[in-house]
Amino acid sequence: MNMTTAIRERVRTWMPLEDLLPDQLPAFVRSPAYFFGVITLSSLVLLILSGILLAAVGPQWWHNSPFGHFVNSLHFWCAEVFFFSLTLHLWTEFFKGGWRHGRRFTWLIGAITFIAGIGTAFTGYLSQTNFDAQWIAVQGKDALNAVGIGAFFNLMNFGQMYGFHILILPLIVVLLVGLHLLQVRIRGIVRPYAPTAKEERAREKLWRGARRRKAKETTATGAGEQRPLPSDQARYYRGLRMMPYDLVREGLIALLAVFVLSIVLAVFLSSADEPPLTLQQYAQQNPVGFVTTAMGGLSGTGAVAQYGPPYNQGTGSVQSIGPVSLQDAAGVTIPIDVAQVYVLQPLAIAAQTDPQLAAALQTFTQASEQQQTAWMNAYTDALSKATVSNGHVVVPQGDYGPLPIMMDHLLTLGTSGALDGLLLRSGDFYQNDFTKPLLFLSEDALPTKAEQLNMLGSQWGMMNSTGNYPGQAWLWLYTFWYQIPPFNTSSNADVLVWLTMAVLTLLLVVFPYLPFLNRLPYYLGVHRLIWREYYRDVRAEVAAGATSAAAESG
Amino acid sequence: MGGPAQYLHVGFILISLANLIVIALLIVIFILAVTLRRPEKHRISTIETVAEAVEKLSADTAGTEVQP
Repeated sequence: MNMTTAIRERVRTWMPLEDLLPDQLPAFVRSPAYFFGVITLSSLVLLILSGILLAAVGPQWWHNSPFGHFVNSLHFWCAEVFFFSLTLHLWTEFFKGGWRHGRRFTWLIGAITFIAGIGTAFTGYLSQTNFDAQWIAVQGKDALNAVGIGAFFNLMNFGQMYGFHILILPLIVVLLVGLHLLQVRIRGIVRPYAPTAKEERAREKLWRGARRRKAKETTATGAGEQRPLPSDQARYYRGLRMMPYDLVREGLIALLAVFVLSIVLAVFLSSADEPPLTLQQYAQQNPVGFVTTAMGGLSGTGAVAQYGPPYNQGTGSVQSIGPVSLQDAAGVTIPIDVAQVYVLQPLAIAAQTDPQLAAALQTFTQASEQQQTAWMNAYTDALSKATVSNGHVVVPQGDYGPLPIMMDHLLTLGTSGALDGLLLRSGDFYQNDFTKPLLFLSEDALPTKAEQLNMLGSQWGMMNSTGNYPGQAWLWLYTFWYQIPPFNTSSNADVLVWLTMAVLTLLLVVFPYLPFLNRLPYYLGVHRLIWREYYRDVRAEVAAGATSAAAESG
Repeated sequence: MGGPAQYLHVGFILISLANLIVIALLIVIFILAVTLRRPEKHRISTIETVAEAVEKLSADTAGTEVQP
């Protein structure tokens, strides 16, 4: 068998150009309810083009150059238009029952594209390298860690998120959109629901799997090639009036319209770009908070020190459903010894040129565990009464051992900006993983600022953005669950919400395959509004037929 | 747009004005999309007349079709 010939004949049979690029469509497509697919596609094209430009020049460009920021704004508004039109496309296809007559796979691919699109946008927000990216990373990590995904997909690893955003996920989205489009063109646009449920069921029975049935028939009878697709669509559309249609022209008009709209939005509204918070700013603006966070790390009482997988063996943030904990099962894949990473290692480096600090550090490390604990407890208690004088944290008199000297030096490392660099060290030259500094900031600094900006989880934070810009409004259902019982009072809220969303997402994807439920749009009746001319014409034809029959019999 | 965000707080719902506008626009445009039609000079039927359908049916003897 010549494989090349086989593939060529199959492509010729199943994907004829007349179907891929038709110049006629059924007259019922005159509703604007058919616009949203092409608008989504146009915004995807512009997203890719603006994204290529952003990726080519790099993050500093979109933060510091006016033109770079404009392109970033264009990319942002294209993403908003993309999800806006994608949502409307999803709604209209739902009410049209777009999966009928052998189109279930088309819906399935479309729904998976929607989910992949959400992932692409989410990693895009994480790749902005601004405050939104910081906050979404530290807030989102808990949900991913709770279900074990965070062990392998680290939201605070900029290099990983950037790679996902600019290559892996867009590639998946483009492939899925291509497959979806191919399915739409090969099968044609779904007909309006039949006037009665009985007729619709008959039509569904006739067309679902018609392709396979016809193939078997032609093979069994030796009637030649498999049924050519133009005749498929000709048969499928029989009885419907066709009208001239220029798909390419419509696509170009949509592309131009989305381009102009996005440019107008980018020029007049720009986009959010709140600068990221640094350890230096935190140390300078809140020295007591900075030292308190560091002490929580040193004593092992801080939230990160007690977090659990994937960072350590703690249990403070481990979630489960009954006896099953995916977080524990995924294990410690991003090990962080909090006391060493945040306090002892940075101080050890500074001590190389500071004998006083070296002595203090030696005193602390050589003290018994009991003595260390006593110093740490006393100093931590004293921090609640601490004041700041000339940039130094001053605590009431007490027996704190070498801790005041150690913490004062750590604060100096923080205020000088040295700690920002020290926490990025990993033994390699290139750094793109911000897990350590972000975890440190996640204890106090980031939540404090996020609360001021209404971005906490209890404030529907995942869908919000800084400033007056729309955020990830498409995450509304995900954030909704966190606001109501039992989720808002559960210590396993993240895993429960993920489970709920997993079930709902699966229902969305496989909706056409659900018996009885997949007939819901028919009974909701919105299709009667979308195709009202069609039903009016059918009624007129029936009435004309009845009149004609009556005249003949009379 | 870069200033302090405006929020609407109703019960347990806390939504930014920007997100609210996006969601409201979604609903409005959906309603418009299912109710409006493209402008056209002459209204044409969405289905073939019975005579046309019969003529076409006779020209194509292959298969069966459920009439709309």
